[in-house]
Amino acid sequence: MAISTRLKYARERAGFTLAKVREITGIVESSVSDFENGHREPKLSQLQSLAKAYNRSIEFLLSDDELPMETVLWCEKVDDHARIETQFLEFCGHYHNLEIWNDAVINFHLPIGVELSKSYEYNDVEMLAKSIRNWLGLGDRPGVELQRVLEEVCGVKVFYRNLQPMNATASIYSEDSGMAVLINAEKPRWQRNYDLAHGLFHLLTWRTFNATSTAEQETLANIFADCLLMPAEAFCAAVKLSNGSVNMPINIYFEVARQFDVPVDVVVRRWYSLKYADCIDNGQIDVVIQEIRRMSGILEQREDNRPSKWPDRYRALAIEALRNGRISTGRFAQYLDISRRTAMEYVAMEDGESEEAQAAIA
Amino acid sequence: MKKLKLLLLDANVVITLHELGLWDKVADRCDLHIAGTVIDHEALFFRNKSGDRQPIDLSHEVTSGKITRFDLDASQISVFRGRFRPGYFDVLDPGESESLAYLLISKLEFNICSGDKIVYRVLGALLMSDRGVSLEEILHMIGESRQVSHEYTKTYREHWSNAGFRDGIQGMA
Repeated sequence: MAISTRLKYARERAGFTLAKVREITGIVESSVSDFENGHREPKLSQLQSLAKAYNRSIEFLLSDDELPMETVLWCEKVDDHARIETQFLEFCGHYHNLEIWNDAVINFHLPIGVELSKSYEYNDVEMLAKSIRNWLGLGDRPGVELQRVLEEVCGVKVFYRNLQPMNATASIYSEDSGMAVLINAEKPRWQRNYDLAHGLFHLLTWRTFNATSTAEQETLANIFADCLLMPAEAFCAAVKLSNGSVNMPINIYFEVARQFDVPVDVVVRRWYSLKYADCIDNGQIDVVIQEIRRMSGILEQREDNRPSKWPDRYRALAIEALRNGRISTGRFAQYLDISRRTAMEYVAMEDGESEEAQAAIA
Repeated sequence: MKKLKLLLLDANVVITLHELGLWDKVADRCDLHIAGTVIDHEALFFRNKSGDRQPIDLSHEVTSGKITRFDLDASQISVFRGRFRPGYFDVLDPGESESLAYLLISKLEFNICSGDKIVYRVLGALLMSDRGVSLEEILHMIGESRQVSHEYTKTYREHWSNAGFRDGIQGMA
């Protein structure tokens, strides 16, 4: 695949006009057009400007391979989705590079599309959630462990960024860089947990639904998240321990939500679905949720924490690659979005290490 | 006065020389060649002794002839990239790739000076360890005895060149 084709693809995927490229890079329209038509080739310095603007690596632009399939699945698309999508793809590519350079690619695959048909129902989703929960060893309070297990054991890449609208979440499953989920950093931790479980459903059914998302699939993803994060037995036991009666006082919803680290409104939905099974009164659920919203100022007392910009594993891999001489200082700076000068300080900090220690590391 | 050596400097070295206050002295005594990507994108500022950010603008020094700028075409970089296994090229900064590619294609006997392990590692893998030079060695050649941090020493350069040599033998590069 010629560089000209890749340049055009990358620009269009980023959603840029030629004029927008000039505005960002200072490279005039006629030059960009010449590069894309193969009439002239860019200097490396120009290629770097374009790569940066398009959120691509120079390696990507120089590659001879066929263009990759780059499907990003959104549950509610963000404003400016082209830019966010290419950033998300870039993060995934960086993460995957770090895994390769550290010889740390996780060869563990979630059972994509296993035993799922395109027309399945509540019970099938519940069974899927149960088998995944057991398979991953998430125990009775899966929300506490889910992210760590997905990242460290399954190699799912989890990124957090500020997104608009609030409910936007994206998933990627690619042969090249594996599975990844992008979650809104502005949401509280328990909502992020829920969005991660929701995104996991899309990863698991990626092939089943051909990487598409309909309203029905979104509902199924929510049911999956409910069932995954609140195992029926443990959930009922917690409710009974907290209450003992079937008509829950409002504060019990908050108590159970805290235990399972999930949003309070999903506890309500889970409780009603377990209690009333097929004859759920949505009107009654709405009344309870309204009451919960009214009382949340007093009863929602959980301490939230903002997620890190980069996953812990990602940062650890970057530092390890730098220490082992498997990545340049500038690349390290780019991957962690820090200045080169700051990256140079990491290198200088190793001053105390003996050459023997470095040899052992290498 | 005859200039000492033809040198390709990567961005870390340019920044560090500014911080040490030795940039002008090295530029006066050495024939410096610097990649366009380093000038345009990488060596952009340094921190002075008070920790304040000071801009680096090498374009004026190119215009005045104090240093020489070189730019490679994408196809020349592609040829350089083709010497490595897939994915390996991406470990380098564009400035380092451009400098190393230029080192390979130029008819002049350049040496490359870096503060980056990977540059020496790649030189070792390409069986070109002798074309690396540390900042410590350069300063010694121009009669400057200033102490430099470990990544600019001869020991460091040799250590990582040897590691790259082993990579090359084991087919890891």
